[in-house]
Amino acid sequence: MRTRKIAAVGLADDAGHAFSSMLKVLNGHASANWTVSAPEEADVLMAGPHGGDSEAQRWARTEKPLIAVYEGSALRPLTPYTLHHPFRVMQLLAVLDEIELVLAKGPAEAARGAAVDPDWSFAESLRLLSRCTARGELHAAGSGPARIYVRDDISVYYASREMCSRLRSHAPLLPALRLTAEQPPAAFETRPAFELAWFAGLHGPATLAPWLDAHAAYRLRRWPDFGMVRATRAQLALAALLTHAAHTRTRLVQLSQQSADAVDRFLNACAMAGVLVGTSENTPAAEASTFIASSAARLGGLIRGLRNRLGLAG
Amino acid sequence: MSEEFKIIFSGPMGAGKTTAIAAISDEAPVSTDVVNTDRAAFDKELTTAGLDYGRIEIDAETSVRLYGTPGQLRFRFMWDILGHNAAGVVILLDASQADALVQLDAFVEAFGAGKRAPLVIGVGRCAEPGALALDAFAQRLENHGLNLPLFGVDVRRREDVLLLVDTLLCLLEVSDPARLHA
Repeated sequence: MRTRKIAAVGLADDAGHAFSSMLKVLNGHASANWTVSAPEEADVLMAGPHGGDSEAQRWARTEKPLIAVYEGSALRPLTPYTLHHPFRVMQLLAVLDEIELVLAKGPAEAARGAAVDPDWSFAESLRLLSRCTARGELHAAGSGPARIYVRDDISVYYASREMCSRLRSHAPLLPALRLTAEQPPAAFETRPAFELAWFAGLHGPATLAPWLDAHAAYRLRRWPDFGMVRATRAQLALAALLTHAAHTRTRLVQLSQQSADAVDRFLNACAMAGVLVGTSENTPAAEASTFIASSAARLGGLIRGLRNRLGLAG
Repeated sequence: MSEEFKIIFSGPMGAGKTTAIAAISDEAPVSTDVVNTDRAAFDKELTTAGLDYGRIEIDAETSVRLYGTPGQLRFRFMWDILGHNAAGVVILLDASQADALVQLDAFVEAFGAGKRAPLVIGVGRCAEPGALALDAFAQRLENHGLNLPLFGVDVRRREDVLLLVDTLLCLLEVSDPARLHA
């Protein structure tokens, strides 16, 4: 069994003590042995909201896994690995085992992130921001009415009404986000940052994002709020498939009978929204909540018929 | 031989089950509303004591029955009866109700947490002052190891009800073992 190193920064006292105790309990039960180390030696960083900004900033530039710990009514960070304090030992175990699957694949992750296509500049900067500890600052990209401001806790973004509308329909080419001391104009709308992250991934380049592995299997940690971003049927179908089991993009293309571009864009959007996790292929994604039809032929008639009747067949 | 399927709309009092059924039923739903004697729990004049019933005719041989369950916990025995052999379950919750997370647990558990039939959750009134964030519901499901579709919705908008139903159909589609192992 491999030994992995994990560092913790910015945890509240009680969370820090609980984390240390849990690691001891996990010894022999997790798929790796986990030991506590300094951030510069660690394979994984667990970062809470109570300090540790400089370590988190440095960490954000690596492609090493980050576990973001959030508390109370704070919004879930848009990163794949999160824990809501107070968390239970089994939740920590599940996250660490997921991360071990990724780490076991080797150092390819870092290489992928190194060379970022300029078309990915904005999305990449937003992704890096989501890996940093929030300091209550604003970051901005673009100019004039096409300027966008993002809070560094990735809770909300500010943009003109026209820009919000453009973001939903296509990808305006934006440069990387930069720290700014400006405040957004009063006329700008305040929108959830989840929406920005989703559309930045969905309407970005029609290739798999540079930080995703084309050969890895993925599953959904949770469903994106399609009430907010208005999913298409194709996206609902992909989400349903990734709830049922983990799949590679090749298998997703095959199962969904959608184009590789459409599948890549969906995976990019889910990754940007922090709901996509890499895992082993064919692992049941949510075994406890998976329903297997026993009468598929009967249901086929229901599915087609109901879609036709409700005008959902298009 | 005619075939009938059923889709269940469940959730606490005032979450919008009757409205959701009315949005997609062929005809105005048959409701068994009575005067609400529990105004402390939810301040509306009428509430469903038995069930709501709507119907969508697919063709001469096939139809879908839409059942809305009574919202109060004391009618839980009706949830089991109505949920038996359902093709899918839509749970509607009200984020502005103080015990919305407890209700989430109760309704998800009552309908098998997605194991017996596909299950979709719509949460309304997320924008009301003091309402729970949708993230709190998602976190609660995640804590229970569940990954169920959970959307912020306004069931007064037909498109939101259609989103919930279409998601159920997508879940039914991927539940076909023949298709998944092709």
